Amino acid sequence: MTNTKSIGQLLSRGILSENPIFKLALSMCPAVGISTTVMNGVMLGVAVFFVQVFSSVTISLFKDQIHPRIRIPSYTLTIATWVTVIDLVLAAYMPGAYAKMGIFVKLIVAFAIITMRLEMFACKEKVKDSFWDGVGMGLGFLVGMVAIGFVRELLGSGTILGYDVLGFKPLLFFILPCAGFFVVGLMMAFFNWIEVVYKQKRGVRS
Amino acid sequence: MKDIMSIVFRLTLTCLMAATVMGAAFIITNKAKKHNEHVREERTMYALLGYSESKPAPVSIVLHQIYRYIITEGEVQFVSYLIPTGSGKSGAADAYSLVSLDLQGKMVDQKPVAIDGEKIREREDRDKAVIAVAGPGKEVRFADHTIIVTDNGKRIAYLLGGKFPGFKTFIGVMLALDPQYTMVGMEILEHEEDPGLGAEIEQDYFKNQFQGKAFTTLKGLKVVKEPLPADYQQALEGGLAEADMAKVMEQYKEKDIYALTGATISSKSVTDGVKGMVKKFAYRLDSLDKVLKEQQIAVSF
Amino acid sequence: MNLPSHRRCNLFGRRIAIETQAPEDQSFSSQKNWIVSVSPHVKSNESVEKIMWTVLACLMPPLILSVFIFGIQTLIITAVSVISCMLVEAVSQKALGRPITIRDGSAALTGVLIAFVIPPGVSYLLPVLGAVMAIYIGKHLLGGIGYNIFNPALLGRAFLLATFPVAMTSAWLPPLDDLSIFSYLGSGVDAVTAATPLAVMKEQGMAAFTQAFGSGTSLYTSFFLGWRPGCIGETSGFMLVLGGFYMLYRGYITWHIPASVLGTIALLSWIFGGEALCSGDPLLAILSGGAILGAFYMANDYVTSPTNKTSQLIYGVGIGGLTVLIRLKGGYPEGICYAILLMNPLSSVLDSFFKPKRFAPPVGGDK
Repeated sequence: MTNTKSIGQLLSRGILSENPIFKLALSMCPAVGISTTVMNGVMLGVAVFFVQVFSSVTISLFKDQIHPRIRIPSYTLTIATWVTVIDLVLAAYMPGAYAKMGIFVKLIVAFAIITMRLEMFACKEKVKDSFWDGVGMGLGFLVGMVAIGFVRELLGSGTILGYDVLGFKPLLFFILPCAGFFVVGLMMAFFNWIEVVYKQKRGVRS
Repeated sequence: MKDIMSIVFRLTLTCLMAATVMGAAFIITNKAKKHNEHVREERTMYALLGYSESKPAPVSIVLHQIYRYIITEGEVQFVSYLIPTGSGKSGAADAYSLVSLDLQGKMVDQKPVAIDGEKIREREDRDKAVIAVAGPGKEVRFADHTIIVTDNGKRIAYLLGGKFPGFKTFIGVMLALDPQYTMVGMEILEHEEDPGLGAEIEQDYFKNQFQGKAFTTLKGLKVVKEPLPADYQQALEGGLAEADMAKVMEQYKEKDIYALTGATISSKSVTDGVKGMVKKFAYRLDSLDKVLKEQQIAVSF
Repeated sequence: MNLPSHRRCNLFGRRIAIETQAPEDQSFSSQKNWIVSVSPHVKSNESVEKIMWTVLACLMPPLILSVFIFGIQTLIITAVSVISCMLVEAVSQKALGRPITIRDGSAALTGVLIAFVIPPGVSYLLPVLGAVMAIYIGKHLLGGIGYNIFNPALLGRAFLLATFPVAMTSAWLPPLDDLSIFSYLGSGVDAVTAATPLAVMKEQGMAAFTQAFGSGTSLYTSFFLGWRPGCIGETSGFMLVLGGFYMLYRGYITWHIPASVLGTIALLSWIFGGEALCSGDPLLAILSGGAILGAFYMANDYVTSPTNKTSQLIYGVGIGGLTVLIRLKGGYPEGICYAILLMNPLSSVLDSFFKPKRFAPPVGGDK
């Protein structure tokens, strides 16, 4: 990880090969708890995206000043600061969205994925790389949340982004909390399967 | 030792920096946040009274806030009402009093409270002011918040917020009553009932069933496990012409509440909760009004 | 035994032994039936196939009776359920690259059991979805027959209950008292609904229950024979007990689980079920829900129940206790489905806790 990487590599790693939800299986509780609609997924994904990017950049900027023995407290403080700022900003300027997801935004403090990126990447790498890594991971989380939200909203309420697509409510099960685990598990299996098939094909060709 | 000093210093510095950033964000956004909360609350209130953005409320309509506190002194309990006593013309009355009643509904005392119309909306400021007025050695607990709506000084409606246990957790509602305690409307503010079952309580076809129930009907209101008649459902969801709607609503005015299919417990808890809220409110307001009249306290509602 | 190797089963083991046929060349060529399998090596004349089809046969009398109680559509629902279970089994085994074993009857049994635990007035789509959930996700994604943690049929029911809460809790039909078995077919179903005894008892109280169903011996008789609203296969205690006793006689099940489940339900309902302590009606508690079906056919599933006698008793008591807890304090009128599902994953824990005594010293000697 110490080698310099291109922006494309940093981005694709976050979205594909090390996707926080489907590959690393981190931060599952929000993925399960809030992803009942695409819109919820987008909102939480965007909030996590900003917290991830800001925290990565902050830690990377101050990496030489952080005493190695108090790494984790410093990370937690940084994340908590940015979460609070985003929480306040949302409450002030996007009251509609905040009314729905205010409680989940505060939970971002405890998201494993953010601390993990700070510990694994931002505390060792250059600011620029950390920024792109944060962007990649944030986008990966956003994509994961939207994908889960899409499946659950379509199957659970028959709508996409609030627009009636199917005209009826197919399977209520999918908007219940337990279905979150179901959808995440099945999608994880699906993506792993695609990867296996893809690698096999590529292997045959080369 | 040097290490510890360095750790302490850096941690302090980190905390200070974090505090600065958070503090700055708070100062910048606080006003807008509070404004939003008030706007949301008021929108719900006006919606219950039948006003919306396209049909704004006339200036003569004024909302008077009444806050109920329970004050305990040793074994003795009082019910205290923080009420506006100003002229009340502008809505934000400038004088407030704390009127305390004992449990039999007898007046205990009346004390002026130094607080202004903006601060009274903030729970912390309000609690502090009430504690200061109540005096030392007393336990002060905020109970609930009701609103008396007047039009040109005449009472036209009451708005009351409240919470009661539902099937899973608490259900928070706001009710609108007319001066005879007939239900004007109900809004479900928060709940955690099962989607598809108990969560249907927030649908029009359930919550509008409470509309137009007179106080006498409400006192004996029950839940029946019968299918909702088709014409009634149409009327409740607003799918009929106005004249037909009034007729259908009139026809079902004295009927009990039709339970939600598969969610009898949620339906029952909402019905019982609403019933209890209205009954208690009517009793309390009557005793408060009596005291205010006897003591000749000038109030703005 | 001349069965293909994958069909041979170990009757008393928790899992069906993984068996491989020895290569037919070299010195084994003269003896074709050398088999390598994990212990315990129990010889028995029974096979998965035989047991499954016998259990299925035991379930036929309640099914036939249900036609006379609720009408011909119970037969259609069961048929839809069985066919879709077998189809899903074949498709998922094909997709997962496993040998196709739909002829062993386990999928058909799951199909009948799914149909037995859903109300008789539901749409024919429900058993199909239940079958997909039960067989594909509940059985094959968890490893196939012998590896499933949860009882597939009940998993299907739990899924249906979560997905179609309204249909699954209100599509009850009042039992027919003449033989007009076609009267609910077609449009009639939507018009008539009835409440199950347990739902009436829970939501409206004992007075309403007596008014709706009567009391005394005639009540017990009609409930025992099956003339009450309920799931398709759960109403007739008589037919279910008959089949259960046959399975006991054949040695397919032991008395431990059914006795402890029913005993616990009866005892706890007697203690806590009434208004005062020890004033409940234990017989009514057993006859009015799915307790008999659950105790004999669901809780006894080989794969998801413990094998050791002590752990079977504890497992049964756990199921009975949870059932009464859900019935009396929970949100649903009937709780045996969730009780069994909650106890299922505990069965292997119970088994390892009450491990039989080892007669030989461990390898390396006793130190």
